[in-house]
Amino acid sequence: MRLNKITHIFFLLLIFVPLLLSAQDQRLVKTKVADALALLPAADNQQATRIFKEVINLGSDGLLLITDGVQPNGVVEGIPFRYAVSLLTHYSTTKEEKAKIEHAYLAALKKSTNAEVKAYFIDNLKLVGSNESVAVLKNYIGDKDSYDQAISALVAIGTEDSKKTIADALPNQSAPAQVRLIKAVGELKYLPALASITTFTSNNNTLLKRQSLWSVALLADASSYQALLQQAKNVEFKNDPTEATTALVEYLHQMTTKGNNALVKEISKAILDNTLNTSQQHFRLAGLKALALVDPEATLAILVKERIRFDDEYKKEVLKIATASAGSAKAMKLWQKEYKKAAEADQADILRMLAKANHDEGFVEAMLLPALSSKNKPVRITAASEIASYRNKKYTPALLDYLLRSTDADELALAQSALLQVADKETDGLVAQKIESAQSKNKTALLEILAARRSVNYFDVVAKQTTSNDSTVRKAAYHALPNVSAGSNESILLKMLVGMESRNEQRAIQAAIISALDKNSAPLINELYASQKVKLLPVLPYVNDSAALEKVVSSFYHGNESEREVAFEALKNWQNQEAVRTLLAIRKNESLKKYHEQALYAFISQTEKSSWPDDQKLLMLREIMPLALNKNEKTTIIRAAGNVRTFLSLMFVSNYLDDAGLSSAASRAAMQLALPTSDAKPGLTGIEVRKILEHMLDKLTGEDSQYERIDILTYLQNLPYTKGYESIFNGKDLSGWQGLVENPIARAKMTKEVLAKKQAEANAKVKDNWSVKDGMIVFQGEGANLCTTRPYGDFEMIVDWKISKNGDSGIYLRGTPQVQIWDIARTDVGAQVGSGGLYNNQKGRSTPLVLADNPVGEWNTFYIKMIGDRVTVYLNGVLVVDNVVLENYWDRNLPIFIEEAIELQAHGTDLAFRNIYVKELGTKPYELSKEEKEQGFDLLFNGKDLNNWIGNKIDYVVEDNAIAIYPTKEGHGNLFTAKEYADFIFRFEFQLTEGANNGLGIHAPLEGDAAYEGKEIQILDNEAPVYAKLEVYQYHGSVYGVIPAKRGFLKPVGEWNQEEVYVKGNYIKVTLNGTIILEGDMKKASKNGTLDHKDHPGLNRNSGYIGFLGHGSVVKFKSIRIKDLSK
Amino acid sequence: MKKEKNINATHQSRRDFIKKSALAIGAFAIVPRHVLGGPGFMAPSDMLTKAIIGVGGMGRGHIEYEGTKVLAMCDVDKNHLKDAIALAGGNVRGYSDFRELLTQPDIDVVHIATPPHWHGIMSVMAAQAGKDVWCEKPMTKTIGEGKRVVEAMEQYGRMFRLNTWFRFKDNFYGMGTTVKPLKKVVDSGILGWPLKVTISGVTGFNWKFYWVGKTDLKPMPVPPELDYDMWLGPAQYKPYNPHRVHSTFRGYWDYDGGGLGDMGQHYIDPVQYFLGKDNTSPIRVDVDCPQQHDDAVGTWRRIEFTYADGCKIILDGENKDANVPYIEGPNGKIFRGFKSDIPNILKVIDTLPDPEPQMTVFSDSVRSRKKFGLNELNGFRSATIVNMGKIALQLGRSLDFDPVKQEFINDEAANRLINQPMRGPWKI
Repeated sequence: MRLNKITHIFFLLLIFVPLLLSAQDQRLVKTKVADALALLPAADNQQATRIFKEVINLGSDGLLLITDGVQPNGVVEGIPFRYAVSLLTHYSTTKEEKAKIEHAYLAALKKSTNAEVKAYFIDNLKLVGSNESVAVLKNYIGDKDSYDQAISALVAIGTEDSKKTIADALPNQSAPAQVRLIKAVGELKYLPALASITTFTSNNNTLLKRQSLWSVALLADASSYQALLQQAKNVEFKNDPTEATTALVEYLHQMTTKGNNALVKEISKAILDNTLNTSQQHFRLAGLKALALVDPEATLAILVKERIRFDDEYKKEVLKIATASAGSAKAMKLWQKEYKKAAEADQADILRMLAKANHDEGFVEAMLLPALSSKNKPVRITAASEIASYRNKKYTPALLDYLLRSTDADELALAQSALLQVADKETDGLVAQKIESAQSKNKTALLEILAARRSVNYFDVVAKQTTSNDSTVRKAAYHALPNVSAGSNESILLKMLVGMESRNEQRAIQAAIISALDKNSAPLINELYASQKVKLLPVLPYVNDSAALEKVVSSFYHGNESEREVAFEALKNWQNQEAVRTLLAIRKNESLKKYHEQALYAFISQTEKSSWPDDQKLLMLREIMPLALNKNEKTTIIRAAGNVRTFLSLMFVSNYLDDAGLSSAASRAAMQLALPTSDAKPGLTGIEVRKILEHMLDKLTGEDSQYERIDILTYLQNLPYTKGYESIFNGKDLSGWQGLVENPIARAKMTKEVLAKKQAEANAKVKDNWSVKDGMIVFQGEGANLCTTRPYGDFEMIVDWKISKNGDSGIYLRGTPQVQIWDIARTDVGAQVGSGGLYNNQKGRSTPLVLADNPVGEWNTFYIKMIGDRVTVYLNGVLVVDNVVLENYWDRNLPIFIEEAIELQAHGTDLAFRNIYVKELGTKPYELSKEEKEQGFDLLFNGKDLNNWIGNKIDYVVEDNAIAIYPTKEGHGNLFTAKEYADFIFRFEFQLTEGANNGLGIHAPLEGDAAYEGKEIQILDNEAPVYAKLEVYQYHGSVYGVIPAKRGFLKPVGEWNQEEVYVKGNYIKVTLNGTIILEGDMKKASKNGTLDHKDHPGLNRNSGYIGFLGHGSVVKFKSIRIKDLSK
Repeated sequence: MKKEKNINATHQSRRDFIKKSALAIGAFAIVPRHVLGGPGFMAPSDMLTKAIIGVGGMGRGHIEYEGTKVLAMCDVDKNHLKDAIALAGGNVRGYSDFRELLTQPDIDVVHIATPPHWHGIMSVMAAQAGKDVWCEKPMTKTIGEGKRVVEAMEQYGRMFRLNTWFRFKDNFYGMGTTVKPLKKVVDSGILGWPLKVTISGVTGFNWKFYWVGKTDLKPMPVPPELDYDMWLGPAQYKPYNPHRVHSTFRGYWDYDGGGLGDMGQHYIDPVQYFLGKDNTSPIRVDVDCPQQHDDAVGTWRRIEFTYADGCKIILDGENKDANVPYIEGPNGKIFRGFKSDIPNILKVIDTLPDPEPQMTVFSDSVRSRKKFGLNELNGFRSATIVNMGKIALQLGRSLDFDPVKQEFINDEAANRLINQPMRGPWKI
């Protein structure tokens, strides 16, 4: 359709394009601009550059069309034009381009009557304006709506003319404009205006005064000094609204930059003389800094005295200033003297200042190393941290020595930190060497260093200290032990453990054993285990040994109370998923209540950390959910499920969306599951997903919920309208299911009546054995299979199943046995291979690839995919059947049926099924119905390729058996039939997205605008709010601009619509979803002019191509067929 | 301007107080407080006093902070101000004009939690008033403003902290560790040189592309509680629409730069730190993005920064490379969750020397006058990267940059965006 962009241009053309141009030329420029606008905003830089080049080469006519389209902010029609202007402004790089654009903007500025639009063009001149704009901008300095933008643009242009314009404009303006102009003079440093702005420094208006003082300061003319000084004096060098003191400081800064040293000295001294109050410290510091910069020698003495003027912080700031001049020999001497006599607290600051000023090894030798032995603690600390900043290992001995001499905690911490900064491999050795002889506190610090550096080479040194007489040393040694232990230390550690009775130290040794575990450890541990159970139990969760769990379980159930406690701890710490079912059993055991809570949390965390596939993780979380007692437990399970990214997990957490206590956690989990992840995993799609996301939108709470809502809405907006998984079991009754009547071959031979009768009998029997309980389909006793009432062809399926002891069942696909389900204990029939296999296959594999069954009584999840005759099965997330042909059991000479029911097999044992979802895959090629074939229809699109089509095959792609247009790529969006048609019946289905816009061109040529050169039958989501004010001839189905259609027969967005377009000569009839929405004669309808008052040369064409005319939105088409009536 | 304060406190200068108590602090004055007794070791009378400007969103989270006591708050939205004062327990003075707040002698530190188009001006004015500054990220909206903040802090001897913190604490997004081990391994040279750092969803970073603006904002009446003219301040006048202000302002170039503005400095600053680039900037920026609207910020696909020595920072908005390492050097890679192709990398790192400790408590920095770990100098450099990216997005082209002159090479339009004009009387 031709709405916003193009209608607008037509309208403009009527008014503005000079009549001198030939009609042909007008169309060309207009069309090109329209094409460009339709592609904006450009998808990428290359496209943007290409469009920019196209537009700029259209010359002033093209630019005029664009600037004329700009509307005041907030007018929707103007948006593409603002994108075009932005493109011109930002993408122009050469002088020539900028000149063209500048001219266009100046012209637009002249023409526009809207203040906001004018300001907008002026604003754009900031980037592309040149001296040429100055004369025009001058006129806006007096305009209250755009003076600010105009002056900003003049500053950006920055030529002599613009400077002069600014200066000349200064008198006779409103005060706000004057402030802005004075600011501009300062920014441009336009000296000729100095006198003029100086007069404002004595103005009563604070804003004018402040701005002029500031600009005078920026102009940095020596003659301004007295005036600025006087103003600062007037406010006693304080902070005040005129900021006179700040202006003087800025003036000083400018003079420093200019190098006017004499004046800098003078100003600085004036500042120093007048800022004796503590509240003026910062001005004073500025003065000192400037002075120190221009005359470092002379300032030295001042700084020494100045240091102690105010408070402690000021002292430090003065020292920072002194740093710049403290590198000379003279300075060194002076400051060293000061250092000696300074208060203890200040010495360290002076030392640091000198260290910064003299960053060389000579200074380290002369000052810093000796300072490590100072009596003054802050000095020692400063020296150590300054030495460390050299990051040179040659200072290791000195720092180590310092550490050995240190006694208090601060210094030890600092010495440690300093050593860790200069450390290398040799440091570890030096440290280890000193441990033996060090005092206990220092020993502790050294042990900590070895631990921090994981010095496994010095295990022996650390181990030896575990026997120290000093308890703090022992503690530190034990603490360090895990960090320095390696596999070779295992037997020593075990010996230590055997001999150790204290619990804390046992823990440390156990931790060390754990950190030293390697492939040789298990035998060593097993050897000792019988005699040292309680001591070794804590280690077992970390040992890679198949028998370890058994030992722990035995201790838990059969050991004494203390052994049981230790064993339970071990179960909680288990490092893989092996212990999860033990924890579950504990949780279920009523006599073990005291362990219940911890068992549940350990169960959840071990399940989360396990290497199980997601399906299995979810099964385990679902297994424990009924046992959860309170909100905390349930919330933890829901959160864990939020990390298991499967469709079933989403369905699981969505059960709790309406539970007041759990809804927020469930919503967050659902969001996490459904939306794309930050590491690029795609989001979930389909109707169920959409329903859940829409349902939970208002259930999120907490700080980030407003952002999360934006995320969800954005995702929903872009979510494709695919069906996805649909539940084929409603959880309440067996609707959608029926009894089994023999087999597909036998059924096909029955008459309708016989089949109906047998079906009724079979359905009656279903009630005897099949029932629905707690959201499950349950089978008990003897009976036949349960079948879906409708057939399925290609699909993906998810189903959870559970069997009892000796259980036997299966899933029939297309009415055919079967994906096997059985109790693996039934080795007599070969069930040890596991479930999931295509049991009745004779040629292809019939057994699963691996055994992946959960124990009988637990749930299992099947994912089954069937495409054509091939089946893939995952059991509990593990691939068990890999793309194997399902053989036809009922007649082995036939291939598998194309479509048949899915059946749940009954085989005499108790069964349960839940979560039955099917996603149908439209992978079958589309075929004409028998009826249409007979009527002479031709298939234009087979669901697979675009063979019968020409035109834009980049934006139009085949997807899910449909033609989809994604206008994000290059191209202009038309796809035509390969043949031309005159009279025809054209049938197709289409699916719209929100606000989508497309069109069906008929009788169209391949060149030019099909809506006018041919005819366009509108395709549009005319229910969208943006189209509330459509003209009647723009409704869906209308012959665009010519005959209006009836509105109100489109299906909701996302559903497929059926449409037929019948054309014979000038007669046209459009039928949408069974209702005729348009019927008429196109020639007659336009006899007295078209409804849109535009020229439609296409009305005179009675033959041409049929095509989809893309207008920038996502639309899908399928089932496209045609009957050529001209034949 | 209307005052909104309740005058009950005697405005004794904090610095006077500190001067008097300097003796009591005595010999320990230079020792960082955390060495003395850990965080929390501070008498109430020893706390720095603070004022917060902008208490709508970010500012409210910072009422409680180690070593500081909030005396005053300022906001241009009366409702925000009222709510925040109530949240702080009521005993706080309220201002609607920050300039008035800056004249209060009893405030040591000004905390700037406004939208970014105010950060530069307020930082400079606070320095000119003799206050130390705590400023939210991104540091400034333009490169030019950043330069000025650096200059003003130096001129007036003020302390500045930029409020992002990953260069010195907390686990750093997808890495699952602090930046310290990254710094150690990069410093050690184990990975080789130059390094390529990729910041994407794959490596654990979220570019928050919901911070996009709308292109069809209709003018609407300004609500009575809001001083819209003051909210806009230096930004050019545009008709009011609620989407411009408060929680959605990041979607507009006039005030910020979308997800890049919001998260860019958060993510990039630690990279500057561990690459050792705190004194320099990249020499080139390349962008891949859809064309941007000139008012509303849009999304982008990729922004790539290159340093003179060949190091690169890649912002991958599309999470294009599903297996990309966070840091990649010629001799080794570090992936999300600190996984690496270097065996036992965490143990190896433990044996490497530590980086220089950083000043991590702002009140310590104010007291000792030692620069805070993330200050105006390194903060300016990491903000410059964000601002280079924003300019390249708006211009849709690659740009060359001179890190010494801090201007673009041969691109006049880009250079016109370094200093953006300020409306009315606002200057920096």
